[in-house]
Amino acid sequence: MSLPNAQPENNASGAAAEEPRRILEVRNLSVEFYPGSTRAFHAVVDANFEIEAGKMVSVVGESGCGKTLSALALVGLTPPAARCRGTIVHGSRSFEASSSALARLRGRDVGMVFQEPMTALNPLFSLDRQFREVLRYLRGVEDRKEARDISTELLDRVGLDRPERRVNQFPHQLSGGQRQRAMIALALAGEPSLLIADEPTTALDATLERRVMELFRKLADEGLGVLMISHDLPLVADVSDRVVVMYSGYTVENGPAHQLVDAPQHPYTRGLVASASAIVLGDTPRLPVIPGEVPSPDRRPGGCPFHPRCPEKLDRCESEFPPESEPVAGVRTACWARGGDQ
Amino acid sequence: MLGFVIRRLLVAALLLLAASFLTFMMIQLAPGDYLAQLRMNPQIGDDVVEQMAERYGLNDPVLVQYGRWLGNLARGDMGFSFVHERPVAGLVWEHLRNTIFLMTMVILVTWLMALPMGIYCAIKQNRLTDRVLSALAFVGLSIPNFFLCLVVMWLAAEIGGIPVGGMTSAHYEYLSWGGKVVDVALHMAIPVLVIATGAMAGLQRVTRGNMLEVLRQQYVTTARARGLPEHRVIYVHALRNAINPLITIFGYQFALLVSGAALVEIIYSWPGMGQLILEAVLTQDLYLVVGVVLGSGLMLILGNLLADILLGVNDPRIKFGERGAS
Ligand SMILES: Nc1ncnc2c1ncn2[C@@H]1O[C@H](COP(=O)(O)OP(=O)(O)O)[C@@H](O)[C@H]1O
Ligand code: SF4
Ligand SMILES: [Mg+2]
Repeated sequence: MSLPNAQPENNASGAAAEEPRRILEVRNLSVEFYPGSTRAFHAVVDANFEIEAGKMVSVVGESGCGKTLSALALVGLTPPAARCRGTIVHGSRSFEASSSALARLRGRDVGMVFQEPMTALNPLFSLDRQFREVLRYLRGVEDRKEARDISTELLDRVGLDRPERRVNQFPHQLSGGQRQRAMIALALAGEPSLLIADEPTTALDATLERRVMELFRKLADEGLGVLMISHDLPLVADVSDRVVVMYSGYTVENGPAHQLVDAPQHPYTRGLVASASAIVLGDTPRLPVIPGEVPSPDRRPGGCPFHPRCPEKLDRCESEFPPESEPVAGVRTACWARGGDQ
Repeated sequence: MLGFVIRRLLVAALLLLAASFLTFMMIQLAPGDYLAQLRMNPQIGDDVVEQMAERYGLNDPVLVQYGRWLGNLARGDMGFSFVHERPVAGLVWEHLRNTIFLMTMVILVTWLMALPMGIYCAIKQNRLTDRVLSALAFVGLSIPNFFLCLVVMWLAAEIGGIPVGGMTSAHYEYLSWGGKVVDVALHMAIPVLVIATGAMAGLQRVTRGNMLEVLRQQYVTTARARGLPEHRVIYVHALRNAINPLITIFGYQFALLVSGAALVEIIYSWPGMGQLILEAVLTQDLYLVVGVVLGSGLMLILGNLLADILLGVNDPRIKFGERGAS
């Protein structure tokens, strides 16, 4: 098999060929820190989303909203102080979110790409050696030559130039963009069906950022499921199928990508879109259009956690958390001002 | 890399030259000298002393003497020890060999014990074993070597059967080959133990700290996320990075041990550099002092060079010969 993941694997039930294959379903995922103690708090509350093969889903929100924790929980990588609850369905296998069995999905079913390629790649090992290691442990490839062929093919697939040469290099010999591509190739080495990328372009300049995003889109088009994590809604909306908006651990909106940019429902999503366009238009002071900042989860205000910053705040927002509603077909929003009172 | 080594050795040679000059001057300018001691001895006639002074040119100006010594050094002659009445080179080499032997054992024991303990403590951070080992390390660090020497010596005397002085027994020459090995090992046991205690405690703490630091790094999470087994993540990805700073420590541990061990060597009359230095300085045995300084200096420099080479082998980001490369 020369191009892992180039084709979506065929489901056993051939009849469902037309149905997009669901590779991940997250139900009521919560992440609680220091459970049982007086300083316990929830960093992620009741997250629900799903990803189908060939689709790219993005989770967006400002820093501290619980995006990274949600992603880490999918493969049991949350910090020891955290307890996860909920259900995570990978393909046909269902897991308790607290289960240590999630670790077995790492690499083989779920590939992960992290934010800082400078610190996320072990500086002491050449790419060749890192590939060989993953291929040996995940796919039983013992032969050096075979491992090398697979690695250069993977590097080529993620658009790294001169992969035969690059594969011999060490992380510090690559540029930021090259490093990030190498990381993606390494994440693909175990032939996962889902790729999770946590702010993979934060360290890159705007042009590179777009090119790497397009690479993820290409990988999704080749059949992979992609979970993208970002604070930049317009950037990811362009290449994503769906967008999930998180605020202070809560999922506040979930809908088709283009719809969330063209007609955002939740006031927080509107704020994200507006602040991004303010920067694009070059309004001189790059002040965020949403004043204030995300409350840390242990000091989250009651009611709708967004109410201290919300321009559309109603009286009940301070005391009651809004239920989810569907103000527009396909878009789920948690906001009193968007029919939460129906 | 060869160029790097050569450059380093050239710098080392210059340093040693400067060190030998300074030592020479200090001994010569210090009040009294070896001959003065001879003169005070009523059994040695003044003519004998004058003869000696003449033979070794000790009446010449200091700079001339130094120049002559340098010229001889170029021919491999490090001068003559007045006290031992033999060439300095052989004397220094013998003692240096014994010290290197002792140090090698100390370093082996130190590293083989401290590394696993430090790693274990880091992985089991704040669990009972970590706390116990950390407490022990603290005790080990705070006991002064000379005190430990005395306690151990007393213990050994109470228990009996373990030699507490010298490197070999009186009947060493008559022992079989295997018997000789055992004899030396027994003589080494206590000095090695005493020197290794402090060094081990320190190294264990540093290893634990480095390991904890490295385990927090993003690439460790990456390695886990790749689906690698935990032992691979810890013993390959984390450990290789945690070892990097330890290699530098290895280099100056040599330096530390040379000075720290001198005391222990003297107390246990181990025939190493420590004894030789003390004796040479006390008797103002000029050429021997300079020889000992050269020998010890060379050892330090080689230790550091070895550490730098190992560091470069372990870390691809280090380019040999580039200053401040990180
Ligand atoms: N190791 C941790 N210990 C305690 N709290 C944590 C830890 N990691 C994350 N948190 C809490 O969870 C919140 C969300 O973190 P994270 O998922 O990293 O946010 P995001 O990726 O959206 O920026 C943080 O603001 C912090 O309060
Ligand atoms: S629920 Fe109220 S405070 Fe929260 S976003 Fe909607 S309007 Fe604003
Ligand atoms: Mg994050």
